[in-house]
Amino acid sequence: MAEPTLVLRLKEVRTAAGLTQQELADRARVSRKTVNTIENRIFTPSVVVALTLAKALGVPLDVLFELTD
Amino acid sequence: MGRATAEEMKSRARARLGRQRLEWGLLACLVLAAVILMVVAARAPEAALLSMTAVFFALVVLGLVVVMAFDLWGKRQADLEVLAGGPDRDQVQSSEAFGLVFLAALGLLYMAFGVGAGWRIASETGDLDDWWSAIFSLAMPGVVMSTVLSDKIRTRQACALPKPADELVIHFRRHALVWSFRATLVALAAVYVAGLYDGRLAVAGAPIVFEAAALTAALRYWWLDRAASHG
Repeated sequence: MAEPTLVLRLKEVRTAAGLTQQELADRARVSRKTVNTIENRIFTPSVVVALTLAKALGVPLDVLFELTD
Repeated sequence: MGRATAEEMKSRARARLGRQRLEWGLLACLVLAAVILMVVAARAPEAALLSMTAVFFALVVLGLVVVMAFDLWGKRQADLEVLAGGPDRDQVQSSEAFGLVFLAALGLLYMAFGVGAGWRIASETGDLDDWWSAIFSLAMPGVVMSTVLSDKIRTRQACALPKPADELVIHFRRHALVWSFRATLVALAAVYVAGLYDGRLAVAGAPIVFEAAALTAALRYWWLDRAASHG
């Protein structure tokens, strides 16, 4: 059975919302580096940070992060 | 209780800054009084015990004023940052990463002294200065590693308490620790082999192991932080 892969749509959703990394970081009260490293797949956030980002963007969590087979 | 709005926090910070002006004034009065006391005591050498007691109290007051001034300065910076809209987290993280590299690089100097001192102590020709050098060679690695092992981040404010580090900082520190552990094992193996050849080399090489651990951790942490800044 293939390992599930994490699909990340943070950058797409952020740019669609017309936000810069800094603006999203300010809304979510995280550092810009956190947003940048998540978008570039350097860092996988915890559920808390993921939910915070989803809330800051006004979308459900599974729009930002999704597991596919 | 609801979270205070940004405007309420700014209003409170302004009020605190106003009260701090009064506290600065009181501290200045204390300094003036201590200085006057010392001058008066110096002009009355005939009552030596009384003069010494007066100078002692004046010095105690001055010491307390310095401690209180540092505390006040830290609070002032914190309030100024609240008024400015809060500190820039990215800058705080970057300055901490650069500071760690600086401290670890400074540790190379301490290490050089520590190796020489360790060799002399192991050769039983060391004096008290060598003992101090050998012990102080642990200082910089100690500071760097305690920061990397911590889950707090220091702000740039004087005397301000460290704040909980965010997830990314902790993630970077864990990566830095993994690299540091690898470097420690390599350095330890080298010192162990050298110690088999000559026992004194094991003692003299110990500061190198600590410095290798600290420098690797600091450089890796700085590199990850730098990589996170781009893109």
